[in-house]
Amino acid sequence: MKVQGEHLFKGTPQQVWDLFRDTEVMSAALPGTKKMELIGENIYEAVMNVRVGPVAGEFSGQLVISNENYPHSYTMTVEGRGKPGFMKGVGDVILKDQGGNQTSMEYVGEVQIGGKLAAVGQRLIDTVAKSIINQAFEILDNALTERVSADAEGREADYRKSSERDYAATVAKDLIKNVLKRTGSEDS
Amino acid sequence: MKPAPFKYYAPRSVPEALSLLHEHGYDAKVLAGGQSLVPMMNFRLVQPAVVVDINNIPELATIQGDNKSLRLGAMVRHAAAEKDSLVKESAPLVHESMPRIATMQIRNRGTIGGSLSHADPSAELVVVTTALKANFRIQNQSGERVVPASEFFVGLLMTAMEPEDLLVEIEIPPLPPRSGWSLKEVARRPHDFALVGVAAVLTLDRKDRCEDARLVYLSAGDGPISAPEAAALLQGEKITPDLIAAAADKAAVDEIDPGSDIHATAEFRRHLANVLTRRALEEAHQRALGGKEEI
Amino acid sequence: MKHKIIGKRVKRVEDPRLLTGGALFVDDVNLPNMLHAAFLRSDYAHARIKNIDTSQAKTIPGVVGVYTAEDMGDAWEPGPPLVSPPPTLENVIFNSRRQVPLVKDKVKHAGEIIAVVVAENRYIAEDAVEEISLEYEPLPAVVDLEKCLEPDSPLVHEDLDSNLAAHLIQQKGDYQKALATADLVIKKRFHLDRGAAAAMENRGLVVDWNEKDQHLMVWDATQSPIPIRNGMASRLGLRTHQVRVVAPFVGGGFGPKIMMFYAEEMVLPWLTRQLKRPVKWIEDRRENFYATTQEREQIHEVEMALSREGRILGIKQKIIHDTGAYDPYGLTTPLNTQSHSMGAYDVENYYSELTVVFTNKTIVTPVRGAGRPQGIFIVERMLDFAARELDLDPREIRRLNFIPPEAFPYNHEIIDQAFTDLVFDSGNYLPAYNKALEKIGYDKFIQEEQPRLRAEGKHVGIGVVPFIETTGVGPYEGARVAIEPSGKISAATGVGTQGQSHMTSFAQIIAEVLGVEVEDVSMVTGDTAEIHWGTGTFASRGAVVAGNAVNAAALDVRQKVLALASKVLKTPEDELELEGGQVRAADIPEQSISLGELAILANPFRGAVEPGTEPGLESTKYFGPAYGATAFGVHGMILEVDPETMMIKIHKYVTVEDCGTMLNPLVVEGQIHGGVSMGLGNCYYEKLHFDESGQLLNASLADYLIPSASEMPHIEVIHENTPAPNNALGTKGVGEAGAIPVPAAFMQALENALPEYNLEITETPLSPNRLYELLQKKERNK
Repeated sequence: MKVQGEHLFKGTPQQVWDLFRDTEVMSAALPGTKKMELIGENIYEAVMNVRVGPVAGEFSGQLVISNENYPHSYTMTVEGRGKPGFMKGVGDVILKDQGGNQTSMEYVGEVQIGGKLAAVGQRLIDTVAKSIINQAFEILDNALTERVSADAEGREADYRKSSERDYAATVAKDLIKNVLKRTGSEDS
Repeated sequence: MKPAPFKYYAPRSVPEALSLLHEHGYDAKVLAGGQSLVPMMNFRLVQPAVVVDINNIPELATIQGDNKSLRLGAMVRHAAAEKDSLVKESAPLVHESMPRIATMQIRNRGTIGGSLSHADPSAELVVVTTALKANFRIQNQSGERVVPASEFFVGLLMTAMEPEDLLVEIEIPPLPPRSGWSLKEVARRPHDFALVGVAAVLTLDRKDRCEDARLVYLSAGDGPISAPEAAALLQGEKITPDLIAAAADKAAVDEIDPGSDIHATAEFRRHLANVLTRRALEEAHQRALGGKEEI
Repeated sequence: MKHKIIGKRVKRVEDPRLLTGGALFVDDVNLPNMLHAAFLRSDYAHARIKNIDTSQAKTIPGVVGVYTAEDMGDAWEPGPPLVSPPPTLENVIFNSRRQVPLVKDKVKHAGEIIAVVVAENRYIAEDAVEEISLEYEPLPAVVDLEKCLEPDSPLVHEDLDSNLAAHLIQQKGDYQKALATADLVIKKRFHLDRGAAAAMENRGLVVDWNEKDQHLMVWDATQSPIPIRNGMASRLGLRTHQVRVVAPFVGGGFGPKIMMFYAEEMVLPWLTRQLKRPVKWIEDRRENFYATTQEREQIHEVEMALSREGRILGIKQKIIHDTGAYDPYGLTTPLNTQSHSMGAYDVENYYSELTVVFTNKTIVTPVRGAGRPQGIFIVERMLDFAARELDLDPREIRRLNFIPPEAFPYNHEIIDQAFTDLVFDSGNYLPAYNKALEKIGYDKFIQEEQPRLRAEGKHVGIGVVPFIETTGVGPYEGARVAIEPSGKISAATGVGTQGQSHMTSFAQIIAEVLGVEVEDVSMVTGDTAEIHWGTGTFASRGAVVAGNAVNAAALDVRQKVLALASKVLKTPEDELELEGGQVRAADIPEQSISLGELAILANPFRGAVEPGTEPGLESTKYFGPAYGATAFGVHGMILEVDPETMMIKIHKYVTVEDCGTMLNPLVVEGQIHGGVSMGLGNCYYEKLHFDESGQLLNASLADYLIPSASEMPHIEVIHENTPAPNNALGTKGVGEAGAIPVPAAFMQALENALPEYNLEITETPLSPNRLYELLQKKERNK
């Protein structure tokens, strides 16, 4: 399955790069993250509870960063396993300075999903992947904003720890704006 | 294919159900018709610790209506809505969508509230209630609130409901006079999830100009996908085949975001959305005109 | 002989039980103290197992045991080779690699079994399966039929130096010579994809080892109970009499349930002997998609050489056949393709090269049609393309090439799946073909209806395709028929029942021969306690091979009845007749005796059985044909396609079938209906989607699309009768027939509905998405 997209972050390429390599922020902000650690050079180990609506499953795996070209591009290899199945993906990430403190992140990759998820969840997998990536980016963008303003104000950044429950309910509602754009806003 | 262990409760009243949901919160799943939840539990993709079965609460299964709205209890079965004359009269789009939902066996068991709470982007009711600007009455132990469809569906299989919330009723306002509607979809077999589908609602003014148009798509993104820009092209205009084609192009190219799966690529889905939008708008237009004029 | 009961539309005697839930299926077997098994199956298609940790799973209350290959010790051995390569051909390469009970080191397809949990119920067993932890080393998967033969391809079986499973060449005449004289040569490449049999009932087993009795009782949803009994006894070191296998009612076989010694059939008998308790396993639908055999993926490079007039001068083809991870069933399926690629036609020169490959996919064995649909698809499609090139009517090119009635028996000079000469015993093709054209209204459709509907903007098309089917092959089947003291008849045959109406149609044969009512005959099928010898229900052979064995046994009993009655009634045998359960003198009806009284007399309590005679009115007989009985048929359809949505609807469906003597036309029609539904699945709906890593992407009936009642057209069935000359009943098989020509007819009709696109469809199935792609390509090239 091909995964491809773009997200606009409110920060400079350097800030976005640093954010994505900060395991503390990642594990604090990303919902369902139980563990995220650097275990070797550019090798991260993570345990995540991935949740889409009522469907949930714990995955553990590794994330490897290669082909680094700070702060422009890198390659990401992800491998994870859990009871619902496994996934393996390789993708290239490109950061582009859009001026005005904005950075676009373009990503393109190939993801293989296996096991039960692939076998019985086929109809939704593509949408699930998009949805998970979009949600993660939205949350990380918020974290970035918090970090930038905390830095400016000279205080500790407060990354909202997302519980699973937050993820399903509260965090999801954060996305309403984004969704509303597409479902039509005549009622809001 | 057996589910993981879970605790089972079968409350006999709404307050009792709300109390259980309050107590178990995120660990609980509400069991209505079970046509999506039970297969997912059997595949062990969903493993709730607690199942709250609301099949024994008769007050959730009523169909009521007046000139302000049609009110469907969350536990109204698809089959009951399908056969109900009030539904047919006051919400013909809902009535028409029923035979497209899965099989008769599933409709005998599946419920309106269950389907909407599940928020599957391929579900006809999700799209139809969005197109009809339905309101969702939600209760929890602290009280009740009403959420419009546009805020109810928040993402893939996700709604604006908190874990302790229960959807109790769906209110569907009547369409204004001189409105037409259509639901078109393409499915591999009639009972399959549609590859793509569209619900169209069109209201004309006295001079046959489009006063209001709504297009909402199923299987075209992570929820019900509206096409406001396509609808805006129609606004204030006389409906012509060229205009319909322009709106269909706009929606299919710019506004929907379908995924690819083994049954259809995103490209094929956009093509189908285009074809179906044309057919749906034509039908909705005919109906708005009272079926008298040809376009 | 004029039949009174054979050939009548007798309603199925088994239906009341089946329809009211009163019939026994394996899952209905519940024994005291019974345990339940659940399997840990590989998520990966190709992976090395590094470590298995079952300790956590064993701690779950209710778990009785968790076992891996290591635990089986010496009992671990691969399944037997069911069918060896043909000994009659030269230069055959065949690498036999068979499935294993539990994977030891390397997983070779997704769904292969790594461990088994036995617990007090299936829920607990499945809970425990989730707690087994596994370390895998995923390996690149072998999926593509052509890439797998490239030198750098990963290997399914690392002890082989390639993924080649088998290779052989069959030929007749001289294709090169035919090519030299040809006016037209058509070359096409075909890709036919994989589907599932998807029987309504999945597989299932209950095994019960009785330590005191030293006896193993097995209920197995199998098509082949007797070979299963023989194999289980031999694997467990038991005598055959210590094992009884019952295949009770089985909810659909379609081929995969012939497969002897699925992993589960090897593991469960071992478990019950270890635990000395009954163990049950019922395959769930997801398991069925991974673990039950599948069929049909083949790539063909085909050449057809023709004369200007449209005579086929020769056919050449190279077939690549996917056997999946193992090849226990030998070459049955692709040999069928080879023997059906000349269709119903007189082809003098034929060259067919077969390459079989191993891939990291579920094992391939026959599925209803078994290689035949592929052969018919190829020859019929090639004729359509040739007709277009030569500007011939598609009907004319077929009429020109049919084997003429005087040419039978027609020897194709190659071998078929039974390793005997491919001889078509009989046939009369042209009248049946013309009848199908007439019934579907071909002329009227082309001349009037199609132009009228096209003017209305409707895209309608017609397709009519003839086909042959080799049926009723050996080796043999047996039947035992006995008259009870009550006068009722008990009969048994070794072929199991998966919906074929054996209880009715075999009873009709016996009722005819012994002059009783169909209801007086109690037919047992698929119980090894009732008959010792047999092979199974497959290859469209029940009505031919078992049917003729039943007939022979009934005739022998009739002879015994006449001999005894002749003495009792003091009337010569040739003056006796059997009617209404009585034997009577033909001209003196009151001089009679009932079959029951005769049965009592034949089993005296005092006195002696005379030397050279046997007690009772009973006989066991066998039938084994030298070669098969070749059936013929024609399918025609009129369909409509919406070229905007790619949705297709079939408006009319006509079949003419010639399966020789019919035992029961209702049953024949039911077989055709079922076959057509599977055929339509192969046309448009059913495809197993394996991705590059060998993952099956649609292991559920939500995504694997089987035609349902709403997709089925009304099917008109017309019967022709060219009796088989080599069996007493004159029967030919019809169990697979319905599925065989459907894709060829469907694609012909679809192309006919869309003439402006000039499509040449060389693939199955054709999904709406794929049709869209084909039409887009044509649009771009316009």
